[in-house]
Amino acid sequence: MTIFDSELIWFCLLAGFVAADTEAAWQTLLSQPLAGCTMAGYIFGDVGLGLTIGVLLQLPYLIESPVGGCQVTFSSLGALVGAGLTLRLSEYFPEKQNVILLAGLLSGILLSWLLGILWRRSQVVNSYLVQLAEGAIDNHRFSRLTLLQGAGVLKSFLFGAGTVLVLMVGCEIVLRFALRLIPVAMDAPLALVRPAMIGAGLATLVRILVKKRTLPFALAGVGLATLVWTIT
Amino acid sequence: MPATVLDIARAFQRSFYIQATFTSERMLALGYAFCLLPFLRKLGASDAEMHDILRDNLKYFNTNPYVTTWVLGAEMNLHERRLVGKGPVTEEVERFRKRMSQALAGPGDNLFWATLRPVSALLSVLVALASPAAALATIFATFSVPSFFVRLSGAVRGYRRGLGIITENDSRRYNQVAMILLKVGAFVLGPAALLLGSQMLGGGRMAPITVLLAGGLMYFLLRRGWSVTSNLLILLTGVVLVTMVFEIFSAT
Repeated sequence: MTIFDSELIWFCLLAGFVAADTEAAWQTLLSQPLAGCTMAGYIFGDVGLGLTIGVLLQLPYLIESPVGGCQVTFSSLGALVGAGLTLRLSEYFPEKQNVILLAGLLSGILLSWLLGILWRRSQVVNSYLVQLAEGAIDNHRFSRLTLLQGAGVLKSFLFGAGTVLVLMVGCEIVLRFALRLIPVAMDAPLALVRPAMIGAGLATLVRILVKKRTLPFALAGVGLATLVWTIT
Repeated sequence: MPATVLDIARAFQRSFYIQATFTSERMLALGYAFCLLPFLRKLGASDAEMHDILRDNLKYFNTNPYVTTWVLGAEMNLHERRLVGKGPVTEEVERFRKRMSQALAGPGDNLFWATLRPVSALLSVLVALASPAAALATIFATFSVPSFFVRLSGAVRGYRRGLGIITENDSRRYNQVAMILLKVGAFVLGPAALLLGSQMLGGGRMAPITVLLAGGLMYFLLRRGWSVTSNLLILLTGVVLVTMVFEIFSAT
């Protein structure tokens, strides 16, 4: 498998959709890590692994809400790159699955943060589009507003596809080299990465969902789960 | 000429792109003007009137994107009446827009971002354990479809009621729905933990202890207001350190 192939092109198109859906267009939530990483799994031929990354990165990031223009990470796109890297690297190092999972998760987390900063910087383009819109309105060229709004969607799509292409190629080259240096013996103990991420995800859900008024419902759910676990 | 179903549908369809030119200075302003544009044209507003209305719209506009159509529909009604000399003046429309957008922002954010999104994600994760494809359908059914409905009903009811939408807006109902969803989510949490544990855990005997330790640490850090990025990096660094210590001990 080379670095540039048709799968990478499809993946970048998916990244463009994810970037656009996150803010600029539709907001269907099909860009969330769970959906995005699963779709990445379909592209790279391992849906199960894509889904695993999606689940592990979806839950902790639920605590972040894009409310009132507050600064959040770009977790949908970062997680997608993390999943893409995990899926591609797992073919090279089948004996280091846990190491690769850790590398994918760390890449996803760090890139979510980095892409969040880049995304906010890219709002300069939007400010310029608004300036152009002011000019268009002053000159009574109202139909340009549609064009400028379309340019905003296109900008998001290109941001997603472009940054993901660069990051995938760059990170894959670096990680292919770096992962060779890690001994295979490290792989087995790193199986704890998955439970650690599940614990983080569940804690996030507890933080979001369990409040004074919902506590009885949470306890009822735990009771039911304990009952089922005891019986089965 | 009153708005037809097509006009409302066009504004509804355009509302999906309202955030395309989001900026921290003006938020959704250009997107809002973009949504209103075809209807203003249809009303036969003169170039000068279009200029005044759209310039006014470009100032600042912010609310939850899923409830924007409530304001949009109502403003369509107001402009329709204003252009035949029956509606409020521009300043009143501006005041209405500002007041409605502020009133809807909190309940909209609470319902869609703080409640429906985590509950939808939780349900989708559970479904995903059985079928990945069904998880995508679950996200669509539990988040996208309700948000489409709110957008559409907002455009229709906003247009029908005009200024009256102020007294009719669903912000109280949004908060009630959000509380019901929180209760459902809280109830599902226990079974979800069991299912996730049984199907995804791996990691041998240490796995349940790791879940508890990582969960406890994450909860503590979240309560202290630390960011997700730093929390996850701390957790994963901890796992790597423990692994390395384990390796050193097992080697010796």
